[in-house]
Amino acid sequence: MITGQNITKTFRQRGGVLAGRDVRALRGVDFTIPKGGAVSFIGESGCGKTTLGRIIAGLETYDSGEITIDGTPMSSLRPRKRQPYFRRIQMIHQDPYSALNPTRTIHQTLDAPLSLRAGQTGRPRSWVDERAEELLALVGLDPGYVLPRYPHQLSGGMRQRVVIARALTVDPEMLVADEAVSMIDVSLRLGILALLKDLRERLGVSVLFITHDVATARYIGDDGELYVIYRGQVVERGHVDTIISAPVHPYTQSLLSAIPVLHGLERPGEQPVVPTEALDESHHDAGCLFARRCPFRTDRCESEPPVLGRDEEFPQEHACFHPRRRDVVATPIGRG
Amino acid sequence: MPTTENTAARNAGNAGNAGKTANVANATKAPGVRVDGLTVVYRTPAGELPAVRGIDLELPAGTITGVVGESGSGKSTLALSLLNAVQPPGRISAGSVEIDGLGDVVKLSGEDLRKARGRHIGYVFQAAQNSLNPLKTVGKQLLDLGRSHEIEDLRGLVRDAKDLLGRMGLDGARVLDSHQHELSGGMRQRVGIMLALVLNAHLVVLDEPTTALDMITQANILRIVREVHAERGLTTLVITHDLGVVAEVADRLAVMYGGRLVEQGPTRDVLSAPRHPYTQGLLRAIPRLLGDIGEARALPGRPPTLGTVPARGCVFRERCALRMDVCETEEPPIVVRGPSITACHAVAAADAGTDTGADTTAGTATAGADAVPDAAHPAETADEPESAGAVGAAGAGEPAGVQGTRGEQP
Repeated sequence: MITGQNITKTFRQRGGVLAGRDVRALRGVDFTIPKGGAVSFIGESGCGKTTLGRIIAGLETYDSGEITIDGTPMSSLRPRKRQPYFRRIQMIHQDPYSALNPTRTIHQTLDAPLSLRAGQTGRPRSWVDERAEELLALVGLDPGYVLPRYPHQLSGGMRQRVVIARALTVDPEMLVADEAVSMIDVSLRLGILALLKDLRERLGVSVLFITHDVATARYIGDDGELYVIYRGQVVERGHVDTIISAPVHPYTQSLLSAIPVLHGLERPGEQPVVPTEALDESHHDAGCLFARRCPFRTDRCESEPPVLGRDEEFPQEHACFHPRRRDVVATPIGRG
Repeated sequence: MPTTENTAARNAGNAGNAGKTANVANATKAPGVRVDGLTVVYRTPAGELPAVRGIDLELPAGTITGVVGESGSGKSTLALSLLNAVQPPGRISAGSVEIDGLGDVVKLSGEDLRKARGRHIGYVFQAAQNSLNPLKTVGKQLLDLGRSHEIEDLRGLVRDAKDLLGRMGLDGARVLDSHQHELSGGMRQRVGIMLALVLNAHLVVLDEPTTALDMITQANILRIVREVHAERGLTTLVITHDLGVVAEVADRLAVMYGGRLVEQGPTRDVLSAPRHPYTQGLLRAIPRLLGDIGEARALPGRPPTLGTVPARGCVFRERCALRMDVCETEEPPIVVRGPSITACHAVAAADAGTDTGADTTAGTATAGADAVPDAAHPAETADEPESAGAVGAAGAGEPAGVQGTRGEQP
C-alpha cells in the first residue's frame, strides 16, 4: 500500500521570460493506493496529475508532505535506501515510440534488467531467457516473433505491450500508466486497457492510471477509485462509476460535459456545465481555485478555500461549498 | 458583415492584377467538392504502394464532412490531396478533385496552385504549434501571408484577423503581438483557424483539429468550428481519428480503412446503425462513460500499414468476423441505402437476401455485430503478431508470402 499525505510541489522558473513565476503543481494532495487496487487521476493538462504520478514513481522530488510505502515513511530513509521501494513502482509512459531504445532488439531490452535481477536473486542464466518469453506471452505477444526485432519493426500497440513487459521484469507492485493509451489506435486501446486490468487480477499489481480521458478510467477495474485534480488539488474523489454518473463538483461536471456525444447512439446530458472562463494558471485565488470559472460561484467561494471531505448527502468526497448532482453525462440510447 | 465585405472587395481588386486566377476569385461562397476515383501512391523499395485508393467522396456545399480513420488509413493523405499538396515520394496517380470555382486541383500547378491554397482552400494543420514560426510574432506571419498572396490592403487584413480572433474569444491585438510559445495549445489552434480563414477561403480542411488538446479546450474549439462554419458559409472537411469529434461537428461521416472509404452517410445514421463490420467494431471499441463495460471489445488484429494492405479484395478482411471467400479476391461492392454507402460483401449479401424487408436486413446486421466479440476474444492475445509478419515488408523487403501465411488464421 502506498499513501501520501499533504504532498506539495512548486516548480520555480529561474531563467527566461517566465523567471520568477512559480507554478504550484501540487497544493497538498492526500492519496491512498491499496495493494492490488486501481486508482485513476483525471484532469486537464497542467493540473498536476503527471507530476503526482512521477512523485509516486520516485522520479520527481516533492517539497513537503510524506509518502509511505508499506508502512515505511520515505522521509525516514536515506535516498539510497529508498531505491528498492521505488523500484517496485514502474512507470509506463504515453509514447511507446520514445520509451524503447531504437538500437536494441526487444531481446536486449528485456535481457538487461532480467540479468540484473538474476544476479541479485542468484538465478541461473537460463532463467533470463525463459522469463523474457514468459513476460512477452503474458502481455499478449508472440515471443518468437517479437524478441529478435527492433522497436521500429513493431506497431504502437505492440511497443506499448513491450514497455509493459519491461516494467514487469522487476516484479513491480504498482504500474503508473501515464496516458498509456492516448497514442494507441482507437481499435487497439481496449486491448491495452484489458491487459492492465488482467495484470491486476492475475498478478495483484496495483495500477495508477493517469488520463484526461475519463471513460478509459472505467476499464482498469470496476472497484477503481477516481481522483479529479484541478490546479494541484483533488476536488472530487470516490468510486469511478459514482463520480461519472453522479458528479457533484462543478469542475468534474465541466470535464464530463466536454466529452463529445455520439449523437445517434447517445443522448446528451440535460444540465451541461460550461466554465465561464478559460483556465488562467497565474491567477491567485484566496478561495476556491475554480471559483472564477464556476457558473455557480457565490461570495463565499471567492474568499474561503473549500476542503476535500465527505458529507452525509453524497457517497464521494468533494471540495465544494455548493455540491449538487447534475445530469451532465450523455446516456446511451436503448436499442430498439 | 463588414469583415466579409472587406475581404471580398480586396479579392476583387486583386483578381484584376492576377488575370490568371480571375476565374478562381469568383468562388465567394461555399463551394462543393467532388473527389472522384482518387488514388495516391507512395514510392517505396517494394514499388509504388497506394495510401489512398479509388476514393469517391462528395463534400456538398455548405456542409461539414468528417473523415475518420486510424493511423495508416490514408485520411491525412486524402486531406492533402484536396490542396494537391501530396509530397514526394507520394503522388496522385489517378482521379480528380473538382472544387466549384477552381476546377480540378489535381491539374493545377505552379502559381495557380499556390494562389488557390490559402485564398480558396484554408488548411489547419495537425499540431498547430508546429505550423507556426517560433521566431516571428503571429502578426508578422499574418503579414507574410498577406504579401505572398499580393494583398494590398494589409491594414484590412489585420483588422479581419483581429475580428476573427475576437470572434473566437481571444484578444486579437495581444495575440498578433505574441510569439507561439506565449500561447496555449487551444490559442494556437485558434490562430491556425484564423490563418486558414483570413484570406476568405470558403473551403476549409481541418486535420486533427483537437488532438493533444484537453477535453474542455476541445469542446471549445469544436463549438468555434461549428459557429465559424455557419457564420462564414463554409464547406468544411474535418479529418480525425476520434469518432467523438466527428459526432460533435459533422453532418456527414466517412470512415476510412486501409486507404479505402468503407462507409459514409449522415453522421447520425452511421453512428446509430453502422453497417460495415469495421465501423461496427470501431464503435464497439470506444470506451464509454455509462453502460455495461463488458460490451466494449477491442478489434482483433491491427490496422494495416502501407506495406501490409492487401492488394486485392477487401482491406478489412483480416480483422473481420463476417469474412467470406469472396472477400479474398473481389473488391467489395458498393451498397447504397438511402443517403448511406457501404463497401462490403457481407452487407451486399444481406441486402440481396432480403430485397424489401428493412427489418430483416437490420436483424442480419445485428447478428453480424454480435459475432464480433466471440471472434475477438480468442484472438485478443494473439492479435498483433498475427498480421505483424508484414511490418517490415515495406522497409525490409520481406517476401510478401510471409505475411500471407502468418496472417492466415481461421
